[in-house]
Amino acid sequence: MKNRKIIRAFDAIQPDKALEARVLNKILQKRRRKRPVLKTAVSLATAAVICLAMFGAPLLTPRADNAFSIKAYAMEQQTDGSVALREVDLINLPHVWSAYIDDENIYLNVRLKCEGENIKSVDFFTDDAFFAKQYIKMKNGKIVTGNVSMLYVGESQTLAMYGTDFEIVGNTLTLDQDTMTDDLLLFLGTENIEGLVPSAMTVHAAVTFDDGETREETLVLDFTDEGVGIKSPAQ
Amino acid sequence: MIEPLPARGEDRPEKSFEEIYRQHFAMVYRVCFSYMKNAADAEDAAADAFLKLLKNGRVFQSAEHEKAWLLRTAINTCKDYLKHWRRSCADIADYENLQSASSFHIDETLKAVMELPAHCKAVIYLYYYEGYTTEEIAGLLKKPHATIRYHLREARNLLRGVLENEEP
Repeated sequence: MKNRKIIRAFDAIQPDKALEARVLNKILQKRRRKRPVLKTAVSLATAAVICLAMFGAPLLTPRADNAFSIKAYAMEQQTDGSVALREVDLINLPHVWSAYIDDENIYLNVRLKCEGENIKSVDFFTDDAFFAKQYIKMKNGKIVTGNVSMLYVGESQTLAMYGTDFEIVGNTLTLDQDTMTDDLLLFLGTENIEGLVPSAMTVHAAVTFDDGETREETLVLDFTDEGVGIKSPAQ
Repeated sequence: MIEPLPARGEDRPEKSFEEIYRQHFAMVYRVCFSYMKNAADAEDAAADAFLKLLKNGRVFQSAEHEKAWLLRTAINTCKDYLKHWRRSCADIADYENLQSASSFHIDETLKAVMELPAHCKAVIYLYYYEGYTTEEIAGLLKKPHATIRYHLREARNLLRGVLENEEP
């Protein structure tokens, strides 16, 4: 039941276009806001295993010209201590995803690589999370261990985490052929809310080719099956 | 340009975030202003409400569902702000100062509504301005129907005199 006085009263609150634009700008700024770099965490004491989701499948979209595809890669330690990159068949091969959980954030290991002809760079963007990086110390083709806590998952012992320091990048990440290196581990990070890993995350990839053309693809990573989560001792 | 929300529904045409924003901004802002009592805080609350929509990537079943979701989110966002902020809201008794800052005309009716307890404001706005029934309000706010009727009765008592001459 409407009331004229109340309608008139509220109708007086009439935001103008400038206000509308200003608030929209605020929204976009908040969305783009970067998180502070995570402080150094303590070394792992014990692992808490959380069974959660299965790593989703990448979107493979072959195209006639300027073809590219987004693939997932796993870094595996070989018997001689060296590491090799193996493309992960995320559709047919059961795969255990992994996560590191500390007081503030959850870091999900993903390794996305863009392969194709004439690729100049790739911009990854996600609304659901932020990107974080780790760089693996290598010497003579072998992983430097020492006091570094590392996480290996799956039957093939895939390296999923190297230490507990993460470089938080933000919700956009640009990689080119020079920066998509073998010692790079990529993570999707999200706020630690009761230690729950999100069921899915969406990542957009915009590829720029040498001739200036751009193409876009979208990945939906599904974390609704088995996985391994490691919590920091504080958790 | 703001990209479309992820389209997961089947039967409804994809609507961009910007379209939803422009269609409902005034409504959301109005609700936030009535709760926060000043333009600056209302802007922040409205921005956060729409940011939740953008992050959520929700696809709505209908236009009414979309509107109801935004209303509920705006109300809950304001309530969160009021719960957690260590500051007092602008004293509505200084509404003249408020008026000059906001450039809106705040009459006695609006002043009275803005003085209501938070749980009454939503009911008054939805019932008298948006024209929802108490049952619809209960569904929208996810509260028992009896609770909504009680809040409405409470608000009417507080607004006695202001709400005389209600429309039949």
